Amino acid sequence: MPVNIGLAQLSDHFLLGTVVFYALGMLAFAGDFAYGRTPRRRPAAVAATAGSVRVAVPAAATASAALGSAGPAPSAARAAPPGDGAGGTIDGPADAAVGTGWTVAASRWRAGGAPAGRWVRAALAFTALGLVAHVAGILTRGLAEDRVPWGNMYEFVTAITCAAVIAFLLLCIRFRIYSLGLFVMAPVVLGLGLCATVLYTAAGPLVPALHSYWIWIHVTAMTLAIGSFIVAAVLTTMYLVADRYARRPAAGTGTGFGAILQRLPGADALDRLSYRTVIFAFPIWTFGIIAGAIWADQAWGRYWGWDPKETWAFISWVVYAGYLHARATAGWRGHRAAYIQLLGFTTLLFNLVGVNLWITGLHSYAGIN
Amino acid sequence: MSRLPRCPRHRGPPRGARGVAGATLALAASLVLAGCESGAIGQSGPGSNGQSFVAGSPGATEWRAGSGPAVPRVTGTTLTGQKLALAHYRGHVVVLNFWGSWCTPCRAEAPALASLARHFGRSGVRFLGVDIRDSPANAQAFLRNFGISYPSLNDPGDVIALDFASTVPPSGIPTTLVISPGGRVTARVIGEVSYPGLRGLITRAMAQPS
Amino acid sequence: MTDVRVPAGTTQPAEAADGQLPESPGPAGQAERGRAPATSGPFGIVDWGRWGWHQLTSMRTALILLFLMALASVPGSVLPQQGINPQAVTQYYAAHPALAPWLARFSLFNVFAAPWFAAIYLLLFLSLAGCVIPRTFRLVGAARQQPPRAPRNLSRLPLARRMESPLGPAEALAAASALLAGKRFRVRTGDGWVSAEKGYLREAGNLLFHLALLALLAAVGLGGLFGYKADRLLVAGQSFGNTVTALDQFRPGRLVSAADLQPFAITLNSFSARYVTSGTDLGQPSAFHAYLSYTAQPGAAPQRYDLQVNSPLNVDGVKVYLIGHGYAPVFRVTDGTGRVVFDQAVPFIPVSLAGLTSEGVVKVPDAHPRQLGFAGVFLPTTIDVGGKLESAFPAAYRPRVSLVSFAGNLGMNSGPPQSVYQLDTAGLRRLPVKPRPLAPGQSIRLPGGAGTLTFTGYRQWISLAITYDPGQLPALIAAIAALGGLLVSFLVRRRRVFVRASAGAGGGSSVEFGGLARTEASETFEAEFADLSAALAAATGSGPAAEGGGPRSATATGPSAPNERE
Repeated sequence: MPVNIGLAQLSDHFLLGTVVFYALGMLAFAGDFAYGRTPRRRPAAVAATAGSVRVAVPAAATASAALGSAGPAPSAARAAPPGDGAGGTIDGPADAAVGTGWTVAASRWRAGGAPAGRWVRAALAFTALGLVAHVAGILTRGLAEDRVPWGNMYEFVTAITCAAVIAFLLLCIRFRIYSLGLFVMAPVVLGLGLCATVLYTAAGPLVPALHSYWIWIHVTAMTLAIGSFIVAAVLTTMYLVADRYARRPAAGTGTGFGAILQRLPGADALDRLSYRTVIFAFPIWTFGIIAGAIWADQAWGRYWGWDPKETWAFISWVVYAGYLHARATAGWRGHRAAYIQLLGFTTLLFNLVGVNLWITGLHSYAGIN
Repeated sequence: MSRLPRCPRHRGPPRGARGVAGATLALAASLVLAGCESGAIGQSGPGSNGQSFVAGSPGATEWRAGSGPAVPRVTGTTLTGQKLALAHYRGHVVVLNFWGSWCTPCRAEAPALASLARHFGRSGVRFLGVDIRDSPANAQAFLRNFGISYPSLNDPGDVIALDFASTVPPSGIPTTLVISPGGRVTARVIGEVSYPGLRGLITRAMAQPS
Repeated sequence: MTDVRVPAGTTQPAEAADGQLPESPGPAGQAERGRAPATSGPFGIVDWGRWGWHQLTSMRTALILLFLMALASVPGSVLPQQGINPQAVTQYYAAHPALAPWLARFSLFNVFAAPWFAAIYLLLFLSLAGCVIPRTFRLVGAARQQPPRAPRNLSRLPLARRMESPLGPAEALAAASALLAGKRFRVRTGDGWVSAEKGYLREAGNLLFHLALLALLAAVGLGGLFGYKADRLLVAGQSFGNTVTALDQFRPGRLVSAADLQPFAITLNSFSARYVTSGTDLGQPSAFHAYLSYTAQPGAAPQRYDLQVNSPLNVDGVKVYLIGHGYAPVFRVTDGTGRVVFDQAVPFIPVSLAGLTSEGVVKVPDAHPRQLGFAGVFLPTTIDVGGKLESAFPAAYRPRVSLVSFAGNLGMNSGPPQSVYQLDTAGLRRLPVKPRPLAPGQSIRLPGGAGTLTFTGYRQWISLAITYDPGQLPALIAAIAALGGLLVSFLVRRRRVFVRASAGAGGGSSVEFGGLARTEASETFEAEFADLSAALAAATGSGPAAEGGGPRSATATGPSAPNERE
């Protein structure tokens, strides 16, 4: 089936527009840091959600002794918690209670958080517009080639970045993590930029080995999982930065980097959100590996052959599983688990970039010479 | 690192010995297990050396009188186009040889087979070949070349080999079977046969009652 | 996932004095109980063995082994592997002559079949089995484990409500208990309190996941022991049966013998390959069809099948895959005596994917007076590029064969078996024949009356991969079960609610309602708790709920961990 050149060019235009919109969104997110409203102090009696959450910080120790099976140490009971404005509210040490296994930590930013300011609204609008263009670009590319639009590395990275943006926007809706916009969109824009320049391949048909309905199942699952892992990696990185910064005595001042960090959700909240994102992505990754094995058996005659891409998918799976275990083990929670997750993300990046470009195997569909 | 809980029902070893013990345990376990590794994951084959056939592990197996497996029904077409069945030779000792003109060990043993066929022909021993993966022209050139006058069945589709699959499968080329007059296999040789070796097998087969 | 070994038959210890609720025994409690009878004496072999086993089956060891396995896979993906790409290994030897033999000593060119890799996954298998299986038994045994007693002071819980109910304490508790039981909590009642817990499936899901991993490893091992892989090249018109003599390569598992092969037979009736004939992808294959007839047993009725790349043939539990294809030119050779000594299709192996230029050799060992050998190329669509012949397109629109002729001793009458794709020219002399590409029907007349070779035509061949893996289906089932267990363990949260009722004013009672859940479940549990307290209020006929709970005084505590389980 010949490629529809007009639609292919339309796809390229859409993706160009995507990059522009995302970049504008990033600028707006940055503008929010610079010119946006400072976050309000949360009053102690905020009770917007039912269930009136009171944070049991002092009770943490007794509660854990009293009720905890499995109670890892509270990660900190800091006098000046990070990212909480000036601290000193009763909700302040909320994040400190995160540590115990059986206590509830406040989802502070959800409980009647400050509404998004002008800058944030603009940023979200740009990002949403960009996402529409992004999806349109992928769609038109698929229509131009009359096949599923992830058959080589250019298309795959485009799809992954799209999944990452969707994941981020969903998290924004649920958890209002607007302040992370700049940091999530930065790698997305970078990825798309690489797509447009280094990775670009013209629209064309799939190689016969990829002619199977499994491409819908296996590659889609991998795309979703990797997009979510990207968001989780950004969250973890911000957690490490916020946590490190909070330990400094000058924390809480309103200038410079500190001002940015104050606007972010607290370190423990970032850590928890990152964990939940990994919890979401890990089963999808597992499913993707299984689907890949079934497809490999149909196409190549064996379900597992230690092909480099299979091997690195397995390595990533192991490292993320290690992260999940570490996160549930006292003493490994917090920093060490975060580093393990970043290690896992590095293996993912190597799988995506290194294995495709530098190592030849059965999976060499990058399409790049 | 978290403090590991200990099982409450036993004591731990003295402190200093733990590290050494742990390392020794790991090493010993891995050596033992590596020795009996199943080769399950990633067992790689002999690698493609382009030989295009499986040589099989050489060796001869003999069965005592009457204890060998019974030969299956074997029928086929000879290289000259006649129909032939193994049952036709019931009552004689039969030497069945799987060969191919492209196979070096088969060519190496061909003179011995030709000679033994002439030697034992007078005693009523029948030789029969089964030709694998050869066109009739190639096969007949081979027979002419080595002066083999006994018939060979042409088996391009491995039907005869399949017939033997459940009893005494030829697990390599060449394979030679010695069959008693009663239709039981008395010996199997995988790989090239030697003149004295095969002569001994035939002689013992002839000495068997049935 | 905890590393706690709860001694079987544990009963709930009595409640401590100040409202601290003793939990299912943690390591602190265990250590106290277990350490009491510390016997002295030499630390014997059995003790070493037991200690060693506990070390092996601890979660830390399992995780270390898992990480080791991932780490060990890295060289297997970066270095060329013998089983996957033998030519790349040879090239690596050529490029790194000093380093390569050292790498080979440590099996780094065959990582996944190396003994040390096998040691890692076998140890992991043992470790996993030794930990998960006893825990499964314990789970089954503790399936009826009761929730813990309600703490004295519910207001200290993170989520708590206090309400006034017109019902008496006993009735209020009964109503609460019925409500919670109706919501599928596991309920335990006591003197003035009700305790309920939900989410036990989480541990079951966790164990299912780990058991399934164990089953997966076992299935892979099963396939390796009882399965086999084989290759066979089949020219159009040929058939073969699944016997060792008929296979080009045979890689059996450890416990597989020649008699275990399923006795099917396959005939290749014809093969057709379609290529893209225009556009930027000119010459790329677009479809392959190998039309087969096969019989599952000798004597069965033949069935037909159209074998393609992504759709293997499944016969008698064995899968047959289409791996490659090529051309087999047919040659007829007459020797010096004038008799036909060779008349067969000879598979030539493609060396360039673009035009399917193929190379091959013809060996005529039964020619007289001298053996003959030929080596050359087959070009499907021959074009002349500056004096050099190339193939422009993979379909055979203009097939030509160009051969070099030899005579002498092929070396086939004795010695080690030779490759059918290579000519050993040590004993051969090249014949002075003017090189000329042959069209179908044309011949080479060899000098000195050595004979004639005629290129009579060509056929196509396919290469098949035959695999039998009895562990394949169990592995799939295990993988799906693992995924299911994973999802259950992620989605199901353990949470607890407690109700206390004490006599209040005017015959009614003061009902306290508290709950808590694991940190990761906190957000969803808040909503659930709100629903539950509303339902409870309705059940006990309480008035508007007064909120309690939370800290009485905001005293900061140090990060002391009373227990470090998990």
